[in-house]
Parts: sequence; C-alpha cells; structure tokens
Amino acid sequence: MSNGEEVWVLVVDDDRDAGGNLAEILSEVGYSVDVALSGEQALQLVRERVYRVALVDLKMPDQDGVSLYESIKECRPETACILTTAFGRSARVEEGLSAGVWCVFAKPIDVGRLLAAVEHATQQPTTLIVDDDKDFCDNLSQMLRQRGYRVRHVQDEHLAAERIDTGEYERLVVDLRLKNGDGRKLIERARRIRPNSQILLVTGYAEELAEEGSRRLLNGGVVEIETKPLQIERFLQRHFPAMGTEQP
Amino acid sequence: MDPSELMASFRDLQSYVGWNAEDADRVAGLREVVAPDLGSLVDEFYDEIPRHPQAHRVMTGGAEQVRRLKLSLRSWLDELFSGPYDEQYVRRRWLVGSRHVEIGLDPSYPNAAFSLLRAGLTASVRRRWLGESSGMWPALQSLHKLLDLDSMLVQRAYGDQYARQMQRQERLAAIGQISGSIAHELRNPLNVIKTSIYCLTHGKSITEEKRSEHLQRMDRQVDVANGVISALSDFARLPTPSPDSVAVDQVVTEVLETLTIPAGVVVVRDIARDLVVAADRQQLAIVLSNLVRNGVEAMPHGGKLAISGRADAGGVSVSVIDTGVGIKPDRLGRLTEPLYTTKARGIGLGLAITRVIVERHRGTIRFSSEVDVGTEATVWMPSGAADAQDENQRRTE
Repeated sequence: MSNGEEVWVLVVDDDRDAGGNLAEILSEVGYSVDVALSGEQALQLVRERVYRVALVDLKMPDQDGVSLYESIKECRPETACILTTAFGRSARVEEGLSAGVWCVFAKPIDVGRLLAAVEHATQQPTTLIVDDDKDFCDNLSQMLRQRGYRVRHVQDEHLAAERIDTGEYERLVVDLRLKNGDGRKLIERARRIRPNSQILLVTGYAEELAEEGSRRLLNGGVVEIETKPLQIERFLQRHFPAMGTEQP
Repeated sequence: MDPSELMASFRDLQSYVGWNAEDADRVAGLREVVAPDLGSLVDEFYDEIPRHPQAHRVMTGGAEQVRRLKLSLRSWLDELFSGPYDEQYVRRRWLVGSRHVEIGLDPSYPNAAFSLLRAGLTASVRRRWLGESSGMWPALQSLHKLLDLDSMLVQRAYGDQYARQMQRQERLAAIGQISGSIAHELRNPLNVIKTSIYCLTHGKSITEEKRSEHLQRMDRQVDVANGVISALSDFARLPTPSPDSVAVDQVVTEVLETLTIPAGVVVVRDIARDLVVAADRQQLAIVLSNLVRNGVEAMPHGGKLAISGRADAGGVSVSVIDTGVGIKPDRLGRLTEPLYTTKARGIGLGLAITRVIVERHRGTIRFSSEVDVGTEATVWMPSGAADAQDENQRRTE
C-alpha cells in the first residue's frame, strides 16, 4: 500500500459473514473498508465517499451486481468494480466486463490473488477526460478501462473545474476548445491544484497551438499534445500502455 | 418400447379399422399377383429419393447402403403379404420407424414413402388382376387397411422416439440446472469458510473474540451447506405420508419454535385449538415451515405474518399471509416449479417439495399476491386420509 493517504474500498455482499470476512482481510492490510449488505445501501455509501475499489457480489436480493456496477459508474465512474460470483463465468459476467467491470473473482475466493488485484486496482491512476464530445469520451473511457485505467469524464468547463478542484485524479486529458469553455483555463487550474499531475492536451485545431495563450501553456513544458482525429492505436500505446486489470 | 404393449395397441388399431382373417387371406392372395412387380417397385422407390434433398440428406452410405436398403424394403414387402401379423411383425415395423427417427428423417417423408408404395402396389394389382374384377376391390381395400396399419406403427415409432428424445433433453437440462444451482449454493458457504480460514491464519493479532467469531461463522456456513444437501435428499426420497390425526395449532406452534422469527415480524395466529387434519405430522410441518419461512423472508423490513386455519369444504384450510414485497403475476404460476426461485439464495426446492407433499395428501395449494402489499398462500387438505393411490401401492407392495 502506498503513502499515508487513506484508501477506501467498498465491499457489497448480502451475506453478512462473506462481507465481514472480506472487510476484515482488507482492513488487516491497511485499507479503509465499508460493507454494504444491499445494492441500495451500496449506492448510498458511494454517494458519500469516493472508493478506489468496490468488491461487488453478482447475486443479491435487490439487484444484481452488474446493474449495481452500472449505477455506481454513473455516480463514480472512476471506482474500479471487482465482481465476485459463486456462478462460473456466465453471460451476465461477460456483460459486466464489457460494461467496464474491472475483473471477476470466482467464489470461493483466492484471497492472495484478490489482494493483489485490489492493490493493483487502487494504484492505477485516475484519468479525467474533459471533452465536449460525449461519444468520444465514452469510447475513450471504455478503451482506457479495458487497459486498466480508472476513468471519469466531463463535458463542460464548469463541471470540469469542480472536478479538478477535488484533486481526485492523476491524469488529465483536455480538449483545447470546449463548446462553452476554454481548455487552457482548465489546464492552468489543474497545474495550480495538482502540479504533479500529467496533462495531455487534445485538439482538432492544430493552428490554435500557435496562439499566444497556447504557447504559454506549452512553454510550461509538461503538457503533451495530440491532434484529432486521434490515431487511436498509437495514442493508446504512447500514453496509456495496457496495465491489465490484475497484477501480472 | 414394450413389445406386448405395442402388440396390444396394434390389435386395438386392427379392430378400429376392421381388419380380420378375411382381410389377411385377401392380402395373401395378392402376393402372387404383385410378385413380378416388386423388384421394379423397390428400384423405383430408391430412384425417387435423390430427387428430394431433404430425404436424400440422410442417405450417407452410398451404393452399398442403397443395396442394403433395397433388400430390407423387399423383405418388408414380402412380409406385408405373407404375414403372420404377430408380435415379431409389429416389432420389426416399429423398429423400421424408429430407425428413420434416428437418422433424422422428417416424419413427413415416411408418409410420402407410404403413398408411393401404395400407388405402386395398387397399379400393379389393377394391371395384373386376372380374376373377377368384383373381387379386386375388396382385395385392394384389405391391402389399404394393412398399409394404414403399417403406417400407424411407423408413426407410433416416431412418437415414441420423439418423446424419448425430449425426455433425454429435459433430463440433461435439469441436471445442468440443478448442478448450477447447487454449485452456487455451496460455493457461497465455502467462500465464507475459506476467507475465515484466511483471516485466522493470516491475521496479525487474533483475539480470542475474533477467533470465536470466525469459528461461529464457519459453523453457520457448514449448516448452510448441509441445508442445501438435506433439501436435495429430502426431495429425492420423500417417504409416503403416514397420516395421523394432527392438531394443526400444535404443528404451527412447533414450526414457529424451530424457526427464527426476526424481531420486526409480528406473528398473528387464528387457529381453532380443536382443528384436526388427517396428515403426516412431519410432512405437514415441512409444508408449514416452508410457507412461514417464505413469508418471513418476504418481509426484510419487518411486517405482519398471519396464520389462520379453519374447517373448509370437507377438509382443512390453512393460510399464511405476509405483508411483504409480493410476487409479480408472471412469477406466481412458477412458484412450485422445482429449481425455480426468486431469491438470491436458495435452490428453489422449498415450494416444490411443499406441493408434492400437499398433492400426496390429495390437497391443493394456492398463491395470490400483490407487489409491495403481500402474499397469501393457502393449503387445503381433505379431512380423509392421504393419497389413496399410495395406500393401494403400500398394500400391493
């Protein structure tokens, strides 16, 4: 486990014993853990606190783990969700994986492997994507999740600024020109809030880079630039090498 | 297929179409008439098949297969005229039919084949008949009766084989389903036990309290796993009910004592002390405890569970009514299906076993429900003893 920061993990299982055991195992190695006994309870907790990882049981009385993941994703897309299931690899599990579930553990759980996966997941940087094209955001998010990155995206400057102020990200992907805003302002803001975050600038208008404001940004030196349309393969390889969702 | 049963149904069909010894004699008389044409009839029959891809598809053995099939059609025709129309005859016809099912021939093709043979034989009789023409029609009629009987045997074989295939598929599906749900129900407790062991062996500072908490968890989950296995074996060998005069109120008391009723659930009872039913005491307890448990589990946030009993239409009705989550209408009809469950935990045997027990007591079970209002389960059992059929069975055993 890393530095002094508290790392929160959420365990969701309707079986008190199962949830209690996982909570004990995780706390023992230093995580801060909450246990939810139902999907409803889990969503309440998720609204109140940012969890790096959620361990979600597939089968629960009030809703299934995959639909719970979908709801968690709406509220906290950057939370990595690990599914646990007493069924084998089912069609529902596959649906979960393609929706962005981090990885899946079959019960009875191999605790050693689970701890490694949780640690790996908590350490992956959170990427914040700021782009007014929602489809682009969705596509990129999905690709990044599959490569083992936790991702969140926002479309407008105002919300992005709020997000940036929370400091809950390590990487930033920003479109220079936003429909109602200016990516440059966001980058400057991000530099102030989290000077050590990695910032990646994406633009469809290469000529804008020549403008005075842009040059100032670039002269700062830490910003990397990609022009749209992205050559996605190359883009991913260069900036988001596959991390996998489990420790190798 | 039971040969004597097959023969019996063949006899029944014979009498249905009015087949008698005279018919057999007339058909035997046709043997000499058609004999010169049988060879070419068989050849033409197999020349026709390649023109029909659906029928030809199942002929995978080339010229050698055709040669064999021609021989067997020839002996089939010989036997048609010679008889005797006995058990062997019937069995062979049935086997020919079932062979066609095995190779996957659509059932309409044997019908088409019969039509073809019938036309060929009829033409042959008409061309070669030498006697009085008035004698030809009854002879042809007898032949048609026999061909109809043969065709029925083939159809019967199709029906039998089809039923067997369905049964096999259903059985396989059931095995798949049951092993899936057992796997799920056992892996959950195993998971708790495994993680508890991990806690006990990897924990840095295990207090006495922690240790005993984990041991309790493991103990509980062993009970859960055992419960799964008990439910299965109960279902597999449920004994014949041995009915007795049972006071319903007393059984309800016992059931409530064995179950843990959560604090938020209020149980209200309205059963006359002298209400008596003729039932197997243990099995009645299984029925009631399943209904009560379901009612309680439907009220995770607490509620009222009303158990009432009364004399009703020559028997006794017992209702268990909860104020729980309710059941959607499309699920209501499936509640007593084995392996059907609406719960996150459970294999779905509780109500299936309940229904089997009630039916063995010649009773009925009904459910009505409204989502978010509650569910009512009503069991009715006759005052008179358990299943008469079971009684007879026991006597003959």
